[in-house]
Amino acid sequence: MRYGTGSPMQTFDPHRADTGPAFSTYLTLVYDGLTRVAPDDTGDPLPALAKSWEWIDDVTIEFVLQEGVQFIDGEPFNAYAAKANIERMIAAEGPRSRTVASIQTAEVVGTYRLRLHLSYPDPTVTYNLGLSPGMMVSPAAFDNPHLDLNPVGTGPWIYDFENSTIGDVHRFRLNPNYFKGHPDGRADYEIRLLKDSRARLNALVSGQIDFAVLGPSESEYAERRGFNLSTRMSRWMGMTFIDRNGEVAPALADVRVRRAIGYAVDRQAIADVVFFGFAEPRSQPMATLGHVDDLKNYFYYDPQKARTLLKEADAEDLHFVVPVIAPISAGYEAIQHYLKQVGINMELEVVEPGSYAALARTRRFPVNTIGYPTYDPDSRHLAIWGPEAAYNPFELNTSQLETIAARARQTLDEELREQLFEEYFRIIVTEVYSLVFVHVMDVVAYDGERLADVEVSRYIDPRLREVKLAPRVTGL
Amino acid sequence: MNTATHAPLTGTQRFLRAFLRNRLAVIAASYLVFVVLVALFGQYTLVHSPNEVNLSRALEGPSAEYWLGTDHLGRSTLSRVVAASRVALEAASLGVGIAILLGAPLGLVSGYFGGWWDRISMRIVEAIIALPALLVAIAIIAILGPNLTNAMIALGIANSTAFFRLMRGAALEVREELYVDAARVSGAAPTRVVFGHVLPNVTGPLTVQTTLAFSFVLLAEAGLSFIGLGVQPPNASWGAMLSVAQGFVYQHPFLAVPPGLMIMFSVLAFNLLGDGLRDAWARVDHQGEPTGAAKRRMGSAQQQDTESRAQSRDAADNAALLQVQNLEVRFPAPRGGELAVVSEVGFSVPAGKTVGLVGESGCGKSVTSMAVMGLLAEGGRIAAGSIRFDGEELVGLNETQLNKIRGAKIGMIFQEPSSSLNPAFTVQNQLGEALRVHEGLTNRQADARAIELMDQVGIPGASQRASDYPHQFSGGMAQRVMIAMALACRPKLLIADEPTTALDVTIQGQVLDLLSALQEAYDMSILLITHDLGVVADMCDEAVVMYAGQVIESGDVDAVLRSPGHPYTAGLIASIPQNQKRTGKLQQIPGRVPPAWDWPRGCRFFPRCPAASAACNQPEHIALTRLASGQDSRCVRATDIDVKTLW
Amino acid sequence: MIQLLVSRIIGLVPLLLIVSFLTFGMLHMVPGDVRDRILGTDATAEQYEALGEKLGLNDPIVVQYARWLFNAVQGDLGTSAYNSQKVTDAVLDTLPVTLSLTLGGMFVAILIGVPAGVYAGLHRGSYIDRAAVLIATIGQSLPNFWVAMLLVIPLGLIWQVVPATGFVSPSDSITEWIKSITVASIALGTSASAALARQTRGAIIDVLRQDYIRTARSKGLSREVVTFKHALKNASVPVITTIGFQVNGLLGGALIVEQIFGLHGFGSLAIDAVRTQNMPMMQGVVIMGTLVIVLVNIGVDIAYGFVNPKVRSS
Repeated sequence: MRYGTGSPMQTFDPHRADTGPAFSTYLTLVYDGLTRVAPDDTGDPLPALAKSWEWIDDVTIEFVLQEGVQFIDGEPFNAYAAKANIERMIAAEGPRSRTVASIQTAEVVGTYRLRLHLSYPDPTVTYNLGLSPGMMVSPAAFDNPHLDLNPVGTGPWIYDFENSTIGDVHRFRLNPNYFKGHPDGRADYEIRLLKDSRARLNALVSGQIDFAVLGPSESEYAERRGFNLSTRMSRWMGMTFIDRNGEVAPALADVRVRRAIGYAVDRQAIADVVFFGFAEPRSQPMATLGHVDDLKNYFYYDPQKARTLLKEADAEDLHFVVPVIAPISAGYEAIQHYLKQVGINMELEVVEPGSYAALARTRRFPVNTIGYPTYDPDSRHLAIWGPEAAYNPFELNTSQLETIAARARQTLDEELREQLFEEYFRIIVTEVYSLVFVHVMDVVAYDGERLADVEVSRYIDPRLREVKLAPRVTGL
Repeated sequence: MNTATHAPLTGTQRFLRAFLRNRLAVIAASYLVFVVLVALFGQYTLVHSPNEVNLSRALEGPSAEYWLGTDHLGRSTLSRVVAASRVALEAASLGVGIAILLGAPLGLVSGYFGGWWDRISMRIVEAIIALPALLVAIAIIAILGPNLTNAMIALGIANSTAFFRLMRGAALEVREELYVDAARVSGAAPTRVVFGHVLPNVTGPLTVQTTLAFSFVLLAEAGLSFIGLGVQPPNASWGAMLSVAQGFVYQHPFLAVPPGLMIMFSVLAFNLLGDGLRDAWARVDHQGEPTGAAKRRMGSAQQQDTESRAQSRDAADNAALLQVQNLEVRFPAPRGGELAVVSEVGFSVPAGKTVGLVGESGCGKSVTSMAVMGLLAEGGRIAAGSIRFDGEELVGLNETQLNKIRGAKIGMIFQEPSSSLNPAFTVQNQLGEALRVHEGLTNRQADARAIELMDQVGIPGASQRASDYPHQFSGGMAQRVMIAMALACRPKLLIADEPTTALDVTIQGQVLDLLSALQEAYDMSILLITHDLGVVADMCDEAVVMYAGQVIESGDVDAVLRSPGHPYTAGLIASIPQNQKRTGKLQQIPGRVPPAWDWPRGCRFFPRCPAASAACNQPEHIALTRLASGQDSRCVRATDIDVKTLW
Repeated sequence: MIQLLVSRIIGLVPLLLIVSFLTFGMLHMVPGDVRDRILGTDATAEQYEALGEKLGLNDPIVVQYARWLFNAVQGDLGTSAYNSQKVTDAVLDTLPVTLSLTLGGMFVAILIGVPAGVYAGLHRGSYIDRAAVLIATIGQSLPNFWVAMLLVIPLGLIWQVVPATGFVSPSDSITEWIKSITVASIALGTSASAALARQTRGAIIDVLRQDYIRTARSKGLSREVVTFKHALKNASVPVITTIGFQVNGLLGGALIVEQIFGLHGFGSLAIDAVRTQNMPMMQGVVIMGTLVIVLVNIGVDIAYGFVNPKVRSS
C-alpha cells in the first residue's frame, strides 16, 4: 500500500511529538496507546493497550491492561512499562504535555493494572492518552538517542529504518507478532513524502502511489479521472480577532465592524470556486461539540447590511493587515476582494509557515488566520481564546470564557458539557471573537480497484490503520 | 582629387548604424520599449484591475471581455500580466542596479589601485562566485522574510561579481597604457583618469553585461516567485502566476501560457539586445570601411585589371618548379561586392633556387603565398590566373587533390612559430602528422622520424623534448620545429612566410643559416616572403617586389638590389637596417600601404613616391616593362629618373 | 597537475570558513529558533530560557560558531532543529538528487549544446547556423521550471514513459535512475545547452582563425582531421570554462525544478528549512551547495588541464 503524504516525519518519539498529521501518518502505525481515539466524529476514547478502565474516584482512574503484548524488541508490555512511559512523558515536557497536565503520578497495582492519580477531575485524560502523549514505547529504548528516528512500539507495523530515507520514503513492514493479529488485506506500507499537492496528484495519476490527500483543484481532477474520494470536514477557515481592544487596528474593537466583515463575504462563492466545492459555508467554528444549532446561519452574504453596520460604527477608511501563509492565501485574496467592496482595505502579508507561530505570538497583527480543527473545543480554548492562550498576545481578559471552559473540563456530565460549550461558542460567534467563513474538507483520493476502507482521519491524513487492499487485489 | 573626401562618421554614429542594421536586435529593443511603456502606463488602459476578483468568472478561457482569460479567482490574466511586467522590471532594475552600483565602482578601484586591496577583493569575488546563488537567495529570504526586495538584494550581490570583474579588467588595462601614466605624471586626478579613460573603454562591454544581467535576474526572480519566495500574493508576478497555473495545469492549461511567454520574450529580448549591442560595438572597434567614393573607384580599377591582363615576366618559363601567371585574388568587400586584393601577379620559382617575395605588410605577398597553397582565408577566391607547380595546374583543384600536394610537395612555415603550433598537442605528434598522412607511417615510425627531424634542425636533446608542448619552446626553437614539420615529407618547395620576423636578431641569422643548409641538403626551392631586403640579399637568387597587390619590380636579385627599377624598391633598399637591428617598420618610406579600396588609379605608389609627376596617375593602368638592367618594372618614369638616388 | 589540484583544495579552506561564518551569523538573526519546535506553542518563558541555556543558545555567537566549526571539521554539521537527525545525514541523503539533476542537466547541455555549437561554428553564416543561433538564444530565454512543467504532462502523465515524480537511486537501478531524472535534466539542460552552443560556436569560429589551423591545413591534413583534432581540442578550452560557469546556474535550477517532480534534493531541504526555521539544516545545505559547486569546478579544472597543457605543466 503506497501512500503519498504532504506531512514530513518529524520525530518518532511520541512523548516529544505533537498531535497532528505527522502523528496520524507515521506514529499511529508503529505505536499503540492505552486508549485510542475513535476514528469517527465522536472522537470517543476506545480500548487499546488498556482493555478497560474505571474511575475509582474523581481524581483516580484505573486501567486494566492487555496481557501477553510484546514490544518489537521483545520487551514485555505490562503495568511497569506503562508507568515508566507515563513518567517519561511527564518528564519530557513535550508539545502536548499540557493536555495531560492533570496526571500527577502513576501507580502499579498489579502486573496488568495501572492507576493514574490526577490533580483535578479531568474527563479528557482518556481521550488525550489516545494521542501522542499516551503512546507506549519500549522502556529498553528510552535512552536510545535515535528513538526519534527509529521507533520501538507495539503497533501493527514495524518501521523499516534500513530501507527508508527521512524526508523521502518511509517503509513499514507488518508486525508478525501484533497482539491483535491482522485483518485480511492489510499490507506493508510505503509512505512517500510529496509536499506539493500537484506532485501527489501526478504520482497518483501515473500509478506511483495508491492514495493521497489532495488539495481542492487536484481533488476535482482526480474525481474526473475516476479515482474514489473520501472526504471529511476538518478545519475552519476564518479570522480570529486577537486585538479586540483596538491597539493595532482601533476600528476592529467595535463588534459592529467585525460583524460587518461577516456579512461582506460571499461564503458560498468561496466554497464553490476557491475550494471547488470541497468546503461548506459556515458561521461558527465547531462542527460537533460546541456547535450551536440556532446560530447555524448567523452570517450570510449581505454587503448592504455590512455597509450599514460600518456606517453605524462610523468606521471609514478602515485598514488593517492580516498575516497569511502562501498555501491558503487564495481564500484570503477572495475575502480581500469582498471587503474592498464594502470599503474595508484588508492588506495581506504573506509570512513563512515556519515564522507564523512566532509572529502570531507578537502584537504585530490584529488578526490571525490559522485554520483550526472543528472539534475538541477545549484544546481550541487553550490555544486560541483562553486568557493564557499562546495566541492571545494582546493579553485580552477572557476570564468569562475561562470560567465556562474550566467548568466543562472538570465535569464528567456530557449534557452539562454540551450546554457549557454552547454558551461558550455563542459568545465566540455573536461577539465575533473569531469569524468563520467556511469549513474545509480534507479529501483523500484513492484507487477503488486497489484499496478498501480509505477514510479521512481528523488529522488531515487518512486513517492509515484501517486501509486495506481491495479483496480483488488480495485475491490475486 | 578623389581620395576619400567623405566626412568620417563619429563612433556613436557608426555604432548606431551598425546596431540598426541588426534587425533582430532592433525588434528586441522595440519590444523592450513596449514592455517598459506597458509597465509604466499599461495599468491606466486596463478594464479590470489586476487584483479584481470575480469568483463567478473563475478559470475562463480568452473572451471578448477577458482577452487572456481569468485565473482561479476570476482575475483578468491580461491585467495581471501587465501588472506583473511592472513588478518584473522593477525587480530586475533593482537587482541589476545593486549589481552595478556594488560591482562596478569596487572593480574600478580594485583594478586601478591594485595591491593588497585588489587581492582581497578578488578573494571575496571568488568566494561569491563559488556560492550557490539561489541557495543564498533562499537563505537571505529565510532571514529577511519572503519578499521581492530581499530576493533582489541577494541576486544583486551575486551578480555584482560580473561587473566587478569587467571594470577591474578595464581599469587594469588602462593602467598599463602609457597615456594614463602620462596623465598621471602630468598630475591628472585619478577621478579624471577614470572618467576620461576607463569609462569610455568599458561602455560597450558594460551595456552588454547589463542586458545579460537583466535576463539573469528576470529568470531568477521568476524562479523564486515560482517556489513562493518572491512576489507575494495577491500581487502578480510572472513566476507567481506560473506557480498558480501549475495548480490548474489539468483544468486550465492555458493559464501557464501567457506568463511563461512573457518571461521568455522578455528574457529573449534582453539577450538579443545584448547580442546586437555586442556586435555593433565590435564593428565600431573595427576601424575603417570603404567610403562610397572609394568603392566606386574600386569598381573601375577592377575593370581595368581584368581588361588589361598584361604580359608578365617569364610567362613561358616551363623549366620553373612553381610558375604563377596573372594571378588575381578577390575578397568580399566589407560593404558587399568584391575587391581584388592581388592582381596581375606573375613570377616563377626555378628548381633549387630561392625567390624572395618582398614588400611591406598589406602589399599582398602573403595572400599570394596562401593562394599558392590553396589556403586563402574564408571568402577569398582566385578570380583569374594560373598557378603551375611541378607541371600541374593548382588553380581549380579540389581540397582532396590539394591535400596531396600540401605538406607533401610544398611545405610552409610562418611568421609566428609560437601561434602556428597547436598548443594542445606535443610537437612530436604534430611533427608526425604529415608523415602519417602522406607517407602512411605508423605512429611509432612517425614518432621516431619526428625525433630525427628535430635533431636535423638542431634542437638539442630532441628525444627528450619530443613530448613537450609548444609553449615549452623558445621562439627560435619553435621555428626550428616548424621548419622540421614543413620538411618532414621532403617537399620540393618550401614557402617561408616571414620566417624570422618574430625572432630575436641573434636567432634570425641562425634560422636563415639553417634554411640555407637544409635547402642544399634537401635540394628544394624556397619562396621566401619578407619585408626585409637584407634577408633577400642574403638568401635569394631572384626578387619579386610587390606593392598594393601588384608586382612592381622583379628580376635577378643582384640587378634589383644594385640598380632598382622602381622608386618603391629603392625605398626598401634604403631602409635595410644598417646594423642588424630588429625593426618592424620602414622608417624611410613615409605613409603606409593604403587599404585595397583606397588604391589610386594609375601608379598605386604614386601618393608616397618622391618622384611622382602628373604622368604617374594619368594612365588607368601601367604595365610591367623590361629595363636595360634586365629586370621588369611598373614605373612609368623608370627610364627618365635616377631611381637609385631618390631616397 | 597534482600541484594545481592540491592548491585548489587548500584554497577551499578559507572559502568554506568565510561562507560558513557568514551563513552562521546571518541565520542567527532570524526571529524564533529551535525552541518553538521543541516546546510547542504552549511553553512558558522559564521553560524557554531553561532550554536555551541547555542548548547553549545563550552563548555569544562566536562561541556558538566555534562549537559548530569544531564539530563540522569532524564531519558533523549539527543536528536538525526538530529531531535527532544529523544535518550531515540529511544533506548526504539529498545530495544524490541534487547532484544527479545538476550533472544530468550538464550532460544534456553538453550533448545538445556542443555538437550544435560545433556544427554552427563550422558552417558559419549558413541557414542552419543562423537558425541554431536563434534557437539557442530562445532556449537561453526559457525558464527551466516552465519547460519542466510543460514536459512532464506528455512524458510523465499521458504517455508515462518516465515517472512523473520521485527519484530512484542509481545504486538501485541505473535505468530507473536515468528515467527518474530524464525530464528534469532535459528541462535544466535546455537553457544551459543554449548558452553552451553559443559559446562553442564562438570558440570554434575563433579557433578556426588561429595560425595553427592554417599550419595544420598547410600540412595537407583533411578537413575532418583539422576540425576534429586541431580545432575541437582547442575550442574545448573556453567551452569547458563555460561549463564551469554553468554549474552554479544548474544547481540553482535544480532547486526549483525538483519541486515540480516532488524530488527531495537540496531545494526541498532548503525550502523546508526556511519554512520550519530549521537553521542548522539551512546552514548545512548552503555549505554543501558551496562544496558541490567548488568540487564540480575542480573537476572542470581537471578536464581543463587535459585539453590545455599550459595549465598542466605550470
